[in-house]
Amino acid sequence: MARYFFEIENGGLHRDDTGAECRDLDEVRAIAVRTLTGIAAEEAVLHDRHTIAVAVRDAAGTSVLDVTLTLTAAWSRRPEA
Amino acid sequence: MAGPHPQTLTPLLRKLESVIRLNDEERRAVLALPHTIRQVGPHEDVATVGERPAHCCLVLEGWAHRYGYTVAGDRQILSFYIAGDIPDLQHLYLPVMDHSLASLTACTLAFIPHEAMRALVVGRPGVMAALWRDTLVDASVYRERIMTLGRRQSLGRTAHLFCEMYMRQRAVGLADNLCCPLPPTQAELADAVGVTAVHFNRSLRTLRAQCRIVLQGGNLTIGDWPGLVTTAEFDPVYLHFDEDRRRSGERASA
Repeated sequence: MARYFFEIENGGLHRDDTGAECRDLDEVRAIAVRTLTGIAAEEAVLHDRHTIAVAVRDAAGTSVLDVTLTLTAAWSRRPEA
Repeated sequence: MAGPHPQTLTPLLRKLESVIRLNDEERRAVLALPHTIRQVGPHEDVATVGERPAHCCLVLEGWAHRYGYTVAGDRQILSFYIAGDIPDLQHLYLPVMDHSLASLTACTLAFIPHEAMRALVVGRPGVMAALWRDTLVDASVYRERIMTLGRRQSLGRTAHLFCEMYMRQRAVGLADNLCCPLPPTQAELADAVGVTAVHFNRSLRTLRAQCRIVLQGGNLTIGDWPGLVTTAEFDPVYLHFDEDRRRSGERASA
């Protein structure tokens, strides 16, 4: 088990002072992906193009993983409101 | 077996009377229930899946929780229990545990033999109704959680949990003035609302930035109750507090 820190970039940078204990690097990736999709579900529904990123660092501050999610909605036809 | 202090079971009485009124004889009978007191440390299993409990577990002090694990090792905290709650009351009539029950913080628990619970309700329809109602409210809380976990996002789920735990503690005299204990860690709260600890932390910060709440040192302070209720879409009707009293109050004023 080791502690990793997950910074979220979505319009502004959200630093992580708490971190999360992870069993291994697979869990690091799983947490990053679940966090991204969770935030996308919550915060990206109003935009047609939206990019959210999670940057993971270890306890020494060394970069471990970058995960980016870009959500694109391409309308074929959308009547003007 | 019987507790030396007749008031030991007062939290149970407060809990039952938060949803239904009992008469004096019924109150005395509840307080006279035989029981064994056990002190448990944090995160100790009280009963696990497959067991056949012979006692009801009453929380007298501290927080307990029900939980389950997926095959991949992800924990879901199903519910939190506070003083006065009998988390395994349904196992009075369902012999086999279908989930695990454990302490969350250090707890004082009272174990009441099933036969004593069954004897208590004989000839006391008021107590029978109170216990039945307690399990029905438990089911109602689960319906609300299905709604919350299925259709609300992390921010709403988090706000909802805070509203509920404040209201439940207030109903049994453990909270007031928009402050209450909230001992679960952030990782445990995240496992209760079904998001990653990282996402939970973001929701917590948003609620703090909006001056809705402060969560510090195991205590929750609500700075903006109407705002928190709006974020949570919280309607306390599913907790069914005090409905008899309110109804009789309405009759009196009519």
